[in-house]
Amino acid sequence: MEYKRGFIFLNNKKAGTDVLSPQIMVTILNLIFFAILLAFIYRSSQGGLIYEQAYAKEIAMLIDEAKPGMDISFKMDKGIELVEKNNKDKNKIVSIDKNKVIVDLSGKGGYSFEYFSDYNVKTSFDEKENVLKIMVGNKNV
Amino acid sequence: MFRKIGLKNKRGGEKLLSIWWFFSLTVVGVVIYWEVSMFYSTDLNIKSLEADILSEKILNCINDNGFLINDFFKEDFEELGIFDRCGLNKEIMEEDFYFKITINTAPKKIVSGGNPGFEALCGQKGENVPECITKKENILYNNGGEIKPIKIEVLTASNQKGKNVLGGSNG
Repeated sequence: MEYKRGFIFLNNKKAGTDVLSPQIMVTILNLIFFAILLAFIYRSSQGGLIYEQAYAKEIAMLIDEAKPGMDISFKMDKGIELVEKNNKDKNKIVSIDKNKVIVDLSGKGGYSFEYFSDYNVKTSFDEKENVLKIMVGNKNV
Repeated sequence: MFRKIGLKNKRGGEKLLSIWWFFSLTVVGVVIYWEVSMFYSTDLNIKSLEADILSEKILNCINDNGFLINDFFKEDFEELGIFDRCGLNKEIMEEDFYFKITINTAPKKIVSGGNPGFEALCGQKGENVPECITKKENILYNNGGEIKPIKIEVLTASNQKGKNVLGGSNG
């Protein structure tokens, strides 16, 4: 391909310099454009940003509503689906750090949200039932 | 060169991929990118739900079988007692939450905690403004053997915003 006076040409041995069909050119460029756009939309929808936020807030509210001694089973099917797609350890989906609930579905850090109750909270993933277990205990226990 | 890219075909006609074609594609791309980014990074507002949970928690912990707890009138109840009794984290409360309990005894007894600046912002609208909930309840008060009904008003506010955590691992 060479450029002359702003035009795009293709060299053809039989006919000398030939021109790339404008329809094909426009179609290819349009296809590339929409492919990139669709790829971006697909990646955004699979990134789990909105799920990370929703799960973190939901878990924080569940903890605040709970009383010490309660064990909560939390179903997060869509989150597990995303984690399996990202080949991430299910036990690392949800972590608790100084009153912060951190939900990480993509392995890129995740989303954190705080609960205001002064509880000692532990989480573990139940592989058998495919649910997250949240154990709420007293701070000094 | 930037003005237009011309494409010639064998018939001699000229189709122009003008700058407007690129401009319209760019506009469509930018608008879709912006809309999708906005949609997937929308902040789910649960401030009023949190304020509601906080008020329920406070009302439950100062209510002992329908009676106001005796500790309520202790001097250090506002400073530490309410946080310990209701299981509230003082540091987090001072950052993103506020509560004010008013009891219509004579004189009025007020116990408050958290970020006091939130009260003045209650009712205002905006992204960085706390959302408030006010609840009223009738409760019995044992005043040295004399039982009388009193009204409790609990105002709670929340202005907590979550954070995206950077980093992480693929482990």
